[in-house]
Amino acid sequence: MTVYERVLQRQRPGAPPASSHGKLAEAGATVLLLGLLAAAPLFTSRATVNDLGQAVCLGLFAISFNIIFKYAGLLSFGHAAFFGFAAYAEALLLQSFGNLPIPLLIFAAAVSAAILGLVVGQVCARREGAYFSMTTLAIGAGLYSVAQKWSAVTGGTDGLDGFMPDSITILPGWQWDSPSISQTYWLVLAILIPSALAAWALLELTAFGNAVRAVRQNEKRTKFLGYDTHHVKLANFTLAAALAGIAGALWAIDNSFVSTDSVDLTFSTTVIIIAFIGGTGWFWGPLIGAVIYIAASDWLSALTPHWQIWLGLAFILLVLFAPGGVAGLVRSGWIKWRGNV
Amino acid sequence: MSTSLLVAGGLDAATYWSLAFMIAAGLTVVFGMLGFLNAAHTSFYMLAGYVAYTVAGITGSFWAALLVAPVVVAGAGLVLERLLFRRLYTAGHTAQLLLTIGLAYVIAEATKMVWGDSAFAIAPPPLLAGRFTLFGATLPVYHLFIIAAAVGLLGVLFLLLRGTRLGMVIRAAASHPEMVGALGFNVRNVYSLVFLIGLYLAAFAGVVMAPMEGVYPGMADDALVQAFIVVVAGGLGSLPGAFIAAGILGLVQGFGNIFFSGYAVFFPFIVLGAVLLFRPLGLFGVKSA
Repeated sequence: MTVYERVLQRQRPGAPPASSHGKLAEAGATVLLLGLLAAAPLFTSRATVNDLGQAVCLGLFAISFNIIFKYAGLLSFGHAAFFGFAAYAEALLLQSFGNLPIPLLIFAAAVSAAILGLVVGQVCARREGAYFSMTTLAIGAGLYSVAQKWSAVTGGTDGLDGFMPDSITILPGWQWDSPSISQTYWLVLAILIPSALAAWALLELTAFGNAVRAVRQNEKRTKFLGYDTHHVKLANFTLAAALAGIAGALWAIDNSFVSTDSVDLTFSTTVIIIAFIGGTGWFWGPLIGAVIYIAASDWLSALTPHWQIWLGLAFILLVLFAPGGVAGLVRSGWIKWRGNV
Repeated sequence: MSTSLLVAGGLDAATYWSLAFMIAAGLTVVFGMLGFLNAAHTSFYMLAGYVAYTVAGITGSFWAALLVAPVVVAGAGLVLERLLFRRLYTAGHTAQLLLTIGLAYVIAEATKMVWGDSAFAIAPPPLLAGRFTLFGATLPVYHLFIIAAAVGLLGVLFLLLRGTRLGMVIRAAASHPEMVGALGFNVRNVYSLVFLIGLYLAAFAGVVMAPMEGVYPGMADDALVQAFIVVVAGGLGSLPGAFIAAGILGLVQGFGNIFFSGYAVFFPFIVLGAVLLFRPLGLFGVKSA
């Protein structure tokens, strides 16, 4: 274990056996965060809800990145591939089958991303460390050039828009005519939160989650215990791809626009930055990171067109001095306040 | 298939080969010797291109830019090495990648801040501006210069590493740093030198490439993808591997552009996939990390 990883480990909630008190605090924080997000349209402006819609989609995307980073210890450099793939899939599905229920279309887009993850994972999940990062980057870049070149389907650099039907079908027989921003936001959350909770439960509460963590800690030993470690890693990778797919599909719905920006290398980098700002040690940390990212981009971009330079600098400082991100800082503050949990 | 097309494809292939290898060589040497994976490697390549644009604008001479820009950029890299990178040599690849993508992000934005969002062209020196005819193909003279520059630079590097006392110390420090340190050499400085050489290669490539494709904001990302493909296909840390992989990539790109113009962008990914299918660790990769 490197020095850095030890630092990360120290900052990671739940890494040392968490007491029931700590678990309760974590559950409370989760409920608080999700509750605040869900209730936001009741007490904030339309513009804020609009921003939050983007933030939660990015947040789910960052969570899916973190499923590979936190639980498998691997740094994906091409994660936008799955997000963008599903976003395009969702846009195309809405174009052709706009009258079908939205959850069904999102499910289809997520499945397509999962299949892509399964195929790509065959190559990537066998890689370790730096090889994994570099291979995912190459695959992401490959997909980006497909999106750019295959303009008959993807609209090339112009992207796709105008695919949202005027009236969307929630369930058969239940339709919304030109939904308001808040309605769309709640629709996004109604799919986003259960999906993320399901992934959380799968990784934190089941034998599968234990297997994934065991592989991360010591793959050889896990193999000796009889686990097919490649398939464990592949399953985790596919899970992350599916979740990124849901995020991409929701993003397409929320933005009613998809372009190559959602598959490019910068976006894959941005999601890493978002996840680390929020904190990779906590499952929901990246969601906080996305809210901070969107808020900062609003606030800073009004001050300077080159706000991303500050984001990059903040990220560097964060990785050096607070690798646990905001969630890690809050946690250590909490521990100081309450005594060692 | 006419001879002229073959000649044109061959020259393009050799040009891509030269550029790809110059960029990837620094990345893979620094990885192989220092265990440091630098995702901001090609950011220095981009920076050198932009600095060269400014220097060429002021002096009116490409040669001045070729002389000054790589030195300035590699010098800036050396400062960063002392301040930042050095702490990361033993920190693991995850921390290295995280910090260097942060740095790449900052460099990309800083470049936009100074030079704006637009692309610039740099004129090749008058001596190399024309075209020549070979077997019925009309080819830019400048491509010959790129190949010659790459061969010359890498030849010097090879002689330095294999033929001089300093090269011997560098190679020894890569494999047995403690022993070399015990013999009285300053291993840290040797590491800095290796890092500097890697950055100089990337920066030099950035300036040499500029008259061919211009400088533009996305060039660091484009080159990073290419360099990663070369390094992964060749085997991380292997210089001969990077040489062969860059050659294969140069061939598929050079001839691909001529015979399958619209689809050539996909070929590097297909090559990478094919290599990894049969040699999961790359052509010359050895299992270590």
